Amino acid sequence: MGSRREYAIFWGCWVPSRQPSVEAACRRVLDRFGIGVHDMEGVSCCPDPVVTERLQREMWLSLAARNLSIAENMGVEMATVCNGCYETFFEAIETLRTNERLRGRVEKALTRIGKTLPAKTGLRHIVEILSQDVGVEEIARLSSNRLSKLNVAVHPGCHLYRAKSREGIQEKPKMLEEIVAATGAKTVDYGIPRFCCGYPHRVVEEEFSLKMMLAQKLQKVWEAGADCVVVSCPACNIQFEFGQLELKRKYNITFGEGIPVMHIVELVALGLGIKPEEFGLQTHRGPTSNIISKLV
Amino acid sequence: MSQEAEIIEKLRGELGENFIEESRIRPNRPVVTVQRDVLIQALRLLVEVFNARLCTITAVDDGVDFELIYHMSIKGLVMSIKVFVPKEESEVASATSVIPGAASAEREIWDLFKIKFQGLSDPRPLIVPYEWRDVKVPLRKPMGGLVSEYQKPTVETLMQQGQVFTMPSTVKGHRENFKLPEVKTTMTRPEALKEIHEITEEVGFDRRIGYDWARKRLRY
Repeated sequence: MGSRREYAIFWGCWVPSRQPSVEAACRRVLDRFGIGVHDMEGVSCCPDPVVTERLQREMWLSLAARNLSIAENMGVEMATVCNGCYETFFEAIETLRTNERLRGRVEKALTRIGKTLPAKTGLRHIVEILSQDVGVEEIARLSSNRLSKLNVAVHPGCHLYRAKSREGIQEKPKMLEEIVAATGAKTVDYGIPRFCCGYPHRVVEEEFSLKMMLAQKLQKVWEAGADCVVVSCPACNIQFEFGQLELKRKYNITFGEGIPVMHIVELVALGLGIKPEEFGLQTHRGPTSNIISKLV
Repeated sequence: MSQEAEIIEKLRGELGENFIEESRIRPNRPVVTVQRDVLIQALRLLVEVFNARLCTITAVDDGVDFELIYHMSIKGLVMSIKVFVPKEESEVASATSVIPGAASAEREIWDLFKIKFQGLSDPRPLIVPYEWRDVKVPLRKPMGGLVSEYQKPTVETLMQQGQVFTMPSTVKGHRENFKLPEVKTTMTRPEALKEIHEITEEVGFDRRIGYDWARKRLRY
């Protein structure tokens, strides 16, 4: 597929059907940096690393292996824009490599549908692509100063800390912070970047998820004077946006007019001078006027 | 060929597609799962061909199905025949036509789980008061499975279209406005969705979560 970097993009479930602005921004950003995007034919949910894996590990692993197999047949590495999908595929690759019993079960399931076990599929998070393939210097070089008045609270999300070694767990969150800085936006220190947004807790106790997790985090973000939260995960994005609507409706907890949330690719797109309306920033369920009013 | 292998081979040959699977609790302790409809055929084969004796019957309520496990002693080997009984029906053929001594175990299970044994000649309560019959059922759980209320829409959508969210018309409109390409997932590719369903059956996910293929919904 040529010498330029090419990826089989796994968009997941959230982005195509709930956050098209993330997909639109990502396509425009990667195109601007000369990185090839190939959509994957016939993929399913990754599936999610919380609900499906808990219900049955064989099912979760078989569907993940099928998706990896599709990427492998495309002859390029797989890329995700979602921490949850990244977690699933990271874990699936390691499990298929190390767990003989499960590998055997999955191989049988894939054989039934005429597919083979993925053996060497590479996996990259969009944060790694922006940091390593593009480089923060290049992002900084091409970014105008239109984000210089924007104060950003960076929320890496739990699964972005996933790494093969203990030493590596801070690598991708650090990359995310560096990318934000390269766009020209200012990062605010709100004290608890690693604190979970509470999305996974919804499946057990919604009130706990909203009041004890999300609201605590938003309070710190609010006190730090952030104009918006930047995430690298669509599920966190949904939790921040819908969660604020629910906090207001159910518990009368508000943070001004609402704290806007953006995916990192949307922030990079704005930094590159791509107009918000070109990728649909206004289609977010939460307010975005705080962001647009701060663009220089 | 060992006695165990010979019996399993015979069961597999006689029952055909109704032989679901063989597994082991531990070495030399086989369990053969069969379709409920051929339970009596399987037991008859073990009794008449291999002189098997019924030790007891175990009932397990897993929330959406009952497991009935018939422990058979065959010349020193203990083999179990397992069937699943959907809770909505809670009925199975009585083994007494083949093994008259099964009556007491079946009456006890009827008392404790409210599973009706069709053909049981003496269905009177055995260990609970008569007035409890079908009213107080000590070991029967309410209908319900692994999937919590909050997770049901997610899991059902995963089963219906291979993805966990539907595509709202507003988002379709946004996708057109921003010139995004067609979504090429299992949501729009029936042949790919068929693969997901085959995997589901292969690993037994449908049974595990209690999925009703005809209604395309969970059974609870």
